[in-house]
Amino acid sequence: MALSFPYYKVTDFPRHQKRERLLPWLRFGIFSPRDEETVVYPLGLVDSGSDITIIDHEFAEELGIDLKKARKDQKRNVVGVGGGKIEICLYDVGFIVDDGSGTKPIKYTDLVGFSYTGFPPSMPQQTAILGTIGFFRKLKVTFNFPKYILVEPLQ
Amino acid sequence: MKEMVNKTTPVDLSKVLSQHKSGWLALSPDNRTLVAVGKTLKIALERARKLGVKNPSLLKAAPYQNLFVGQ
Repeated sequence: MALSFPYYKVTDFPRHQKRERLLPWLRFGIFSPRDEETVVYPLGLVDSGSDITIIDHEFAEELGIDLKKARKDQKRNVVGVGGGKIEICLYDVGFIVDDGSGTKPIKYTDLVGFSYTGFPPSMPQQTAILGTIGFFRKLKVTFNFPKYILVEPLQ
Repeated sequence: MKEMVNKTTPVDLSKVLSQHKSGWLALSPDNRTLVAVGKTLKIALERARKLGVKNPSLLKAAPYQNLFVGQ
């Protein structure tokens, strides 16, 4: 059965004109495979245009992942993020996708890129970007704008 | 597919985000209530847990124009 998630309403004032927008943000859990008991829950942007899931480095610290100890082959540059560039470190993490309805949560492990610093200010979201690696290659995601987003395990 | 009707109301974070331009926000698990704020993720998380919210959602606040322009 699919999990269902709402959109998020935000308001800004470009040129002093009120503008309401509905954004596809989603709460998900992440944990280190070495410690499944410690789970943190970012609220990230579901972004099918992103090749990889990127998560702010402070989540890595909270999970006990020391980015300074990363091997050279774990380091990557990601370009095109809001017109900017960001250096990330690749790690396997566990994911929990749960809509809180009582429907069985979806759990899986995949690669994510933790940023070494904060995201570039030009990025559309500053917490986490859910992209193909880490999200879409594991899940079937259906956008029913503006009502809800459905998430199911990929068959 | 059966139509989902239970999650059709958007979560309105307009007020919360207009009041916080930096730092970390800890929200209730349904993301509809601001529980705590902190300069770092760790501080926001600890404050939320002290208030009894064990698994808050965590969102980094940022100025609006930086969040949403250019999507």
